[in-house]
Amino acid sequence: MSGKTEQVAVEIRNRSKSLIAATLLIAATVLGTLSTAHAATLTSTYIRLDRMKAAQTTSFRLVFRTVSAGATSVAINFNGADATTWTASSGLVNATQTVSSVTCATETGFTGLPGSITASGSSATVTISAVTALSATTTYCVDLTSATAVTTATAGEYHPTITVGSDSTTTSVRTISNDQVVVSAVVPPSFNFVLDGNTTSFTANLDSTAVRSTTGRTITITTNAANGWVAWIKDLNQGLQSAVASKTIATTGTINATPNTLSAGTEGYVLDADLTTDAASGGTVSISAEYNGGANAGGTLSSSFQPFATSTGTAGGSGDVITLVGKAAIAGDTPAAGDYTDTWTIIGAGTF
Amino acid sequence: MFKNETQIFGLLASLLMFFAAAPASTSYKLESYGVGSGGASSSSTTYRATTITGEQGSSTSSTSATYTSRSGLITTQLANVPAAPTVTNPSSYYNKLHIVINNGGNPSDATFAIAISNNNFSPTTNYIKSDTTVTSTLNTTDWQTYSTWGGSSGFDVIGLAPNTTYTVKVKAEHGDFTESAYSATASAATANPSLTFDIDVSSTDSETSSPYTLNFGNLLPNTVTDGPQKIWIDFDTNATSGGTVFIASLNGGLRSTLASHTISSTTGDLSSLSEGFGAQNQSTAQTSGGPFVAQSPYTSASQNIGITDTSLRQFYLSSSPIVAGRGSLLLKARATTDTPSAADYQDSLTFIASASF
Repeated sequence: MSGKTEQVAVEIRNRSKSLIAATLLIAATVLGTLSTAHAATLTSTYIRLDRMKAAQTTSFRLVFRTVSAGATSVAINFNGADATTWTASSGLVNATQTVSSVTCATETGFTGLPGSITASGSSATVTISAVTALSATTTYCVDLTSATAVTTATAGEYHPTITVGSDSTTTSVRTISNDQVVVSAVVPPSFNFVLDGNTTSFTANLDSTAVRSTTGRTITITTNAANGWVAWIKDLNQGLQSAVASKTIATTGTINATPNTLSAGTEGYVLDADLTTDAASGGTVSISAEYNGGANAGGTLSSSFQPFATSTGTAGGSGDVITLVGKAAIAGDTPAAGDYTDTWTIIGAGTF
Repeated sequence: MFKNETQIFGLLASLLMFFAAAPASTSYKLESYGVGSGGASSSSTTYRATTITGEQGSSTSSTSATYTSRSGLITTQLANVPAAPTVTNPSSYYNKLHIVINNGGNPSDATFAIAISNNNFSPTTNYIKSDTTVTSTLNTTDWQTYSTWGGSSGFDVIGLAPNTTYTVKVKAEHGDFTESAYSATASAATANPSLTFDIDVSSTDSETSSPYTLNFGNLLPNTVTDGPQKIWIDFDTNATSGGTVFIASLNGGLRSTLASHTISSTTGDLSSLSEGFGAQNQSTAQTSGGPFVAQSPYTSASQNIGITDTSLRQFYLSSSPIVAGRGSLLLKARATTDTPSAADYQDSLTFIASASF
């Protein structure tokens, strides 16, 4: 073989060696590539700060969708890759954390972070541990339930990094100057007091053989007075007075919180107050003991206002209804006349 | 190691067979090619003629932004070098960029590989896979035709890091051993994930400042009273899955400490309820994206209201990125005849937002 031929052969050998080496290198690279695990990006990830107001302690919720399987821990770094970080902007991460995935799973329909999970905070990071190995391509949620889980940073946008095993992503949270609207209203005082008529008369002529009653007059009260209402009555004549006969059938008894019972054949005149309706809502109506009479009984009519009914609270709907009935009896010598009359003045007021 | 040249050439042939078949495409097939004997080359300012040297890819080559001329027979078979691709971030993407490659005048069956780097290829070179994600290794399946890469419409490369500048370059081939040099590079940056949220309280669509207060004034019995102002929400995010605006109430209604009573919030028709308090959507809008959509039970009209209680309830939702989302809501209240009178009825409504990236 000539010298030139030998040179060519050597070159070919050298190139062959180089080619073999290159082949092996490529193969090694391919195998190395196949065996290398690459971090993936989490998707559908959010942090919901339950308060967005700056400098406010708050709980928060984390939701993320895995790419890979097997992660057993979750870390939330509130500083992320920001130049102006959460912790440099007065934001804090509490060392003590409480964690639960029950509520969020119910509310979102996502999978609660599994395991006997615990959480703790350090620097800018909340780490959730003891997570049962996560499945791939699954959306998980978890609540950091402490009301002081974090203290929000000054108003602005921050970019926490969420790391789940080898996968991660960067998200965004914002804090604002105020996240609340204070709503106020006034319910003005209201008191309605209605008499169903301004006259009444005895259902039959007064008779010494019976105690007679007037047709009842009702008072209907509706009010939003939180502390209820009071109704009073004042009498003009303290009795049934006849100008023609110059006679007054005087009211019976005294104001002593005890009704007086009339007897047929004995002159007497009283007022009986009855509870007709206690409105379904609101306060409880009470008839004053003085006027809480029976069939022939009632209270003394006075020239000064005397309370005959009260309520402990509001009266809505159709209202509270009280019925007032006058009762009278005469003796055998009570002068006959057709003008026996009296005037009641009935008033009420709400206690606001 | 090798007993003769025949063995050596046999090995080389086997290796070549291992790496590549003869150049071919749907429009041509090169049956064979051989090794020449080499020769001289010449050039001027307007051309360069590289003569056959008998070797593939020797050190004698010339490259500009629009062509590469290499020595040897293979030079005549190289695909054209594509022009620089177009790389843009049209919508504040935080995890993707839009790329339109240039086919460089190559045949329609030419394929292109796209390299991408977050440090201008020094030192990292990654590649865009056929599924438009990024990988560290270029596989044969990642060489795709111009039309498969989206043609003139391009495609989005996904899975990128936020707030990062990416540089992209493209190379082409038209059959084996025809791989061109890389094109010139083009760059664009991903944005940061963003979430903008704000509250305003106003009777008309205008910006207001904190503190936010809304005073109903007197609630007359058996009358539905509208809040004198609306609550306006600003919501803007580039989150792929959009985001949500929530509402929650401190007291679950208008509460009076003095009267020890709460006009409870509820879902229903205030015209038929004796008492109640709640919210009703009034309007939604956005400049683009979204749409910004009010959620049940806040979507009914007339005197229908949705409950605001201590749970964070979804009020507005956008299922995709949204620009300048704006919503307004109205509060309504009704007292009845026995709603205790008081001047201190109050509630605090909390509005928060989150975005799903």
